[in-house]
Amino acid sequence: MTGNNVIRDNSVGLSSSGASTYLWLGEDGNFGGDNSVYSNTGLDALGLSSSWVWAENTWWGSASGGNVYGNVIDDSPLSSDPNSGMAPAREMELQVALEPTEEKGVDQAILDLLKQRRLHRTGKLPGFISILQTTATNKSGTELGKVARGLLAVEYYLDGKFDSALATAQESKIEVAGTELEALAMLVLFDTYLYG
Amino acid sequence: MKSKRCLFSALKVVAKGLIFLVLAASLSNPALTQSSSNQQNSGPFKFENGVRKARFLIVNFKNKIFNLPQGKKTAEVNDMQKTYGSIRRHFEQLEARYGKLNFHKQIPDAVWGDVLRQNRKTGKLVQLHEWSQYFYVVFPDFVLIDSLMATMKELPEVDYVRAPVIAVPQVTPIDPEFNSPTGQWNLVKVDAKNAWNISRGSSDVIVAVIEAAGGAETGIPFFANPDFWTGDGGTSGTSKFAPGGHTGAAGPHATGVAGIVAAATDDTDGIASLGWDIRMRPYKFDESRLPDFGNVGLAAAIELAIAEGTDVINFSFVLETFETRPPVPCTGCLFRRLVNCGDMPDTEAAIEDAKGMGIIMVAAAGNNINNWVVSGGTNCAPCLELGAQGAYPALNDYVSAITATDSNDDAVTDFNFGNFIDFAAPGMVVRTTVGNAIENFSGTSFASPLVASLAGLVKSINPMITQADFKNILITTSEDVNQAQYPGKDVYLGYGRINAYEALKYTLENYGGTLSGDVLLTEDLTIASGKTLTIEDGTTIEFDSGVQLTINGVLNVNGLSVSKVTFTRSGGTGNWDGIRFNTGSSGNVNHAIIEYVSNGDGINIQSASPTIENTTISNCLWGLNLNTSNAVIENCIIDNNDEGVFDRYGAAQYLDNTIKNSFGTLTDGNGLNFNNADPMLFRNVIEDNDTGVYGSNAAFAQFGAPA
Repeated sequence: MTGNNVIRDNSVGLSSSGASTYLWLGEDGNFGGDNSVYSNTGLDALGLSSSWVWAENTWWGSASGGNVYGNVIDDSPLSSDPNSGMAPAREMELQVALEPTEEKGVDQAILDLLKQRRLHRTGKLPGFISILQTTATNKSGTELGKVARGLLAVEYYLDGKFDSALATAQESKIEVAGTELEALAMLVLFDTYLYG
Repeated sequence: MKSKRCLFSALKVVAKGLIFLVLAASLSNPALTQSSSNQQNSGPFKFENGVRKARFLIVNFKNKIFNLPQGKKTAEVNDMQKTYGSIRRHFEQLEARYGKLNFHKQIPDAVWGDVLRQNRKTGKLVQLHEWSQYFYVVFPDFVLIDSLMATMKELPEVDYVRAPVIAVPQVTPIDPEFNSPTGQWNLVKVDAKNAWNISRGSSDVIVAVIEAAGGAETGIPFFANPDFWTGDGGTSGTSKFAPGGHTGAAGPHATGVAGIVAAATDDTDGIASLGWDIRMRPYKFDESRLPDFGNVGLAAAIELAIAEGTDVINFSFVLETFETRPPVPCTGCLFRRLVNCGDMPDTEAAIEDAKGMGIIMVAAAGNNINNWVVSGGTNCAPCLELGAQGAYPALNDYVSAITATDSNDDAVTDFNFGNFIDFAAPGMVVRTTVGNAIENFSGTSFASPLVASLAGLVKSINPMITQADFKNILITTSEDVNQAQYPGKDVYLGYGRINAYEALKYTLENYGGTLSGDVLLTEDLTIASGKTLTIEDGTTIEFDSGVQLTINGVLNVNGLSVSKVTFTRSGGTGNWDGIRFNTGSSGNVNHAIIEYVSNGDGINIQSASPTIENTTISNCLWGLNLNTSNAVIENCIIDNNDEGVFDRYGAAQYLDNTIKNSFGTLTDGNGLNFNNADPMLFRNVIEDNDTGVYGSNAAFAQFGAPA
């Protein structure tokens, strides 16, 4: 029985990690299939360690397979999208309450930064450190600049540049001390430390 | 729980010949003068030479003595079935002695053997008492009813026979210094505002206000008081009266009681009522007059209320009668005394019927009532009994006895007290509708209807609540306001003064119920195992920060595509704690919007497998957090959460959902995060997340099924 799931426009479409983890989308002639994984900005699929993304008979946005890395089986790609035109289920009926647009502008820039960081951590955005440095400098004093500086401290820390990490963290902490951004920076640090 | 009731079965042994009613010839206590003299030759009795007479008796036959067509109200001796020759001959002899007898059928629609009624809320069939043989026996003139009753009781076909009673409204005049309105403190005292955050009542719920007629015919029509109408404040608009009952002229006592129960609320016409949207249906009874002009006795009024679908009954009166005491120690003392259960077998039966139909009943416990000697005999002095032992119908175990408190939560010093008192409610100097105006009134008469109004709210959220349930709810939630002096249940305030909010919350948590309209939860609400919380379409529930809805039983959210149910933070700020399904719980969340659980899970499911469908979950830290769950998530939109779904250890099914915009500020920002879970996914759209699907720790996610 086909799955007919659509996974698109994410930073990473499918990510499988840890022992014996399977994201099982299709096995030629045996299981599932007719899923669509495409237009994911970093990777369509990622299989790390002894884990797998098994996705045969899948539409990857082209007939040549997906933009994948690691233990990903994207054989027998479909030549066309079996879920073409598939709209999010009943989305028009279910209106979503979104944050106000004016708030979305500021937040979105920060979110983009965080998404870029995740790409960087999966090796897909090598220029991320320089992006952070530029943003921290050019946007100094703004919320975005403060977040960039906090993330920069995290990255220095993870790269073993403890002096730079400490200096940047202190600077960042001074800039954001007592604000939610301070908490945010610290949580990102913990998050990264704990989960990589 | 105490047992205060005179059991119905025990009533069949009414002491024969014990009650001899006599005329109050002289009055030694001036405080009693007015009351006694008003009663001597009015009402049902006439006193001659120290002996009471009346023109009618109330009798119930065991057998099918009359076979009247449905709706026929009157009968004669000749209509008695010939197969019951003995009793027929008895009444023929009475007729020969006293003149023509008339039998007035109190409940004309009653048919022999037709005793099963369907409870409109539960759908169950309830066996009621037989009422087709329940009559007023009317004599052409006043007769010595006591001797007649003594003889009649010996007849094998007679179930019971009794004399009429006098109803005494429990209203106390207001001292001038108290007549300074300070607002409806009584509603504040019982935390009405928070109660209304849970429920403002349902117009499907009807509270019967059963009043003694008396002043009714000389009063102002209920319709004249604008507070029984919502809308333009006149005598039009949406009526607070449920169809049926009696909405004609009413005295100030009746309108006062009715106003406490169900005055129109949230308008500019005057007062608010705790019941808000519930409706009221007034009934009158009058046992002081012949059964004409459409008036009926108390039992018939109760039966009519039952037939018309009443949910709650309020009795704001105490019944009294006259008797002479037994020869020892008093001789010939005319005694005005309170009615006991044993005096009213018909009313006991009607109350049993009401209980059987799931009706909640409350009654005034009585003000400064006593048993009084009203005329001298021999050795009469000891007969004065202060602090009466009970008050009827409050004395009945199926009726909650309500006394009154003042604005300091104090009992009233000279009010009736005793073990029979169950609860207290504010009743001293309270604002209510009086005639066609708004005034202050005092007495247990105005405390009882506040409890009736609360019962209406309770019935609004859970129609299955019975009298016993309601009593248990109030026992648990009433405030022991005189705890310092009398900890626990006491003879003055019973279990304490009611708290409407606590009663409603306790009802929902421990009996289940239904929420609708606009609801605000300021405290955690935890539905007990085995109980069901239902939320109707169109309901919006706001939660204060840190407040969680926890389900140990069942949650059914019955939204519609055009009328959703919204769960959100209160006032547009703060972080509530979401919905939590605990181990063993179940439910269905359909067409809901769940949003702004910014520090937690929109829905957290622990070892339970509810169905979540057609629901939007947004602006949460985690939209869904499943732990060991086989839940079905279908046709939902999970959007703009820090992480869309975190699913551990279970085997949930994801069908036709859209999961997007998981931004990952504080989490990994996955649309779906499967940790050692074995989900199945069909026809989902997973887009614009940081990571669309993340699997780890031996997760096995199937995006399809074997071919």
